[in-house]
Amino acid sequence: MMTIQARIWRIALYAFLFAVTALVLFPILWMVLTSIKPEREIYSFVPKWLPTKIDWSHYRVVWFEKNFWLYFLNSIFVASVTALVSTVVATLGGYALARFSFRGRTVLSTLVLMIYLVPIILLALPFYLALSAIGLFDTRLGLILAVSTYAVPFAVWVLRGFFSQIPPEIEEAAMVDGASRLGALYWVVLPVAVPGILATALFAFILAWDDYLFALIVISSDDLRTLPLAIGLLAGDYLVSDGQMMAMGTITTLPIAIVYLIFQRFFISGLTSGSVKG
Amino acid sequence: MPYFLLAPALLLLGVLTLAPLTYSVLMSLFNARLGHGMGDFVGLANFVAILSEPRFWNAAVNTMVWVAGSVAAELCLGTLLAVLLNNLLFGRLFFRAALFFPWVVPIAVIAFLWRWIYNPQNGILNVTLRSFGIGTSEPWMWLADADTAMFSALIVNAWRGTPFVLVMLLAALQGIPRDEYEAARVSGAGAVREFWYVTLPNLRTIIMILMVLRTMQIANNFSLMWLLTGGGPAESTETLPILIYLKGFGAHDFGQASAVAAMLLVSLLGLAFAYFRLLRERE
Repeated sequence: MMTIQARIWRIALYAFLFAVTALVLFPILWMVLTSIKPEREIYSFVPKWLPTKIDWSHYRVVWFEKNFWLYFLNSIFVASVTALVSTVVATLGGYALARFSFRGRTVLSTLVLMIYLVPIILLALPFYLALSAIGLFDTRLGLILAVSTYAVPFAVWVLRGFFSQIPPEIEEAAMVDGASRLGALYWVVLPVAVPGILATALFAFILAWDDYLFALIVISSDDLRTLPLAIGLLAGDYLVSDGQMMAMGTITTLPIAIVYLIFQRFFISGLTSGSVKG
Repeated sequence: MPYFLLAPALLLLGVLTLAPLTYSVLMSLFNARLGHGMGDFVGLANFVAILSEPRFWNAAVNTMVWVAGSVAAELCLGTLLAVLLNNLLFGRLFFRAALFFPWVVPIAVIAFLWRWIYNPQNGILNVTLRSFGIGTSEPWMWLADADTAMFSALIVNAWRGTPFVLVMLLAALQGIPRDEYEAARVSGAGAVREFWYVTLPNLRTIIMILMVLRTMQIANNFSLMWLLTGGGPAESTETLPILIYLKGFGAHDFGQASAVAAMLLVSLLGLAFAYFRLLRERE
């Protein structure tokens, strides 16, 4: 049995945490609510919290007239390919760093994290020149390569953490039974590492989806824009209404929100065990 | 074998990162201009020019305020919330999932969302304040005033960064052995002493790690501040990444832009080494 005092303390604690959570999530909620409000309710002098009727017109304008269907597909493509490439490359590399002792292992591990810590803006200058020189300026491939500069080291680092938590005995046993090193990796280690690999792919996808700086530097054509780039260009444009802006924001956040809601436990445990713990 | 497995990663990193990095550092020694190639070797002239420019020092100070303010706010709020969540018997996972969400919202969205909230005329913040009778005669300007822009931007960054710190600290809290708390309780310690003598010492390393990690992430971040304020008003929020961008892609002076970038890199490298020592200490 709890004392009265303990019970009051407990209720106060929950009340406080609910208030904090409501405050923290308020901007997002306000964005979504505004995106489905009729225009005159957005600009009413006394703010209306809930729309009187759901109005999809901002979405229609943004999706079709402002070409967000195209930017959405561009973002999906760039983020998916980046996630796929960096996860495959990092699975091999992370496994090697976690399992083998070889000359330069410490240096390489350090280097991988160092690269992740290099200011992206520092890479932007030579990247602009290099991509122009090889004809990849203003292409999706160029953008994917650019975003990989930080997606790959990050993925290698996270997966190195995951693989070092898997006991080496399992592939040793497989190799005693006659499997090759690659065979053991494929048949024995990968199935165990699936949660880690999937979490890494999600991280890489979210990193690439969030990219604004490289898109700003690499992309100049209208029809190659990604969602963050399009939003950056349209924010503050007097031809775009607040309702339309909020619809753009909701469209850009929604895929990430869905991925997050489905995988969040997985995602957070991946973050706390992989990236910070060495 | 390990080299063979690492080859794709190393190839990508070498071509995509190390080569441009080297090239960038080289450019800082030339009067490279966008569209005119490398130009002539000028030695340290770019660095001398930068260091004698008040605008550089303004950006350096702004970056330090931006980093120190954000990291301090994130760690304080993150620790408070993590300790509270750790005390919950049920609902901990719900609060963790809800409070972590801002970390995954795309930066471009965060920026315009907060610009809209901060809008002096019809932003929800001032509308709410007005309904309590605050700022009715003269609206608070938030991001639009050189005196308050940095502070307003700091709030946004703390809103985005605290969830990350909170989740990391909560994981560390759950690793603290139960018997340390029991021992403290037996010797009659209250909640405050318990926090001070058991919780904080156990969190020391992870707090240091988060401090260094977040410092590097925030010092390198261009997008959030650029999309929030563009460095203004009157350069009051111009951080080093924004200065690099404006020098490079605005003024087309890749030489000077690279020089600023090289200095930022060197100062962060020092921190990175500290970070590695901490990681090793933890293992």
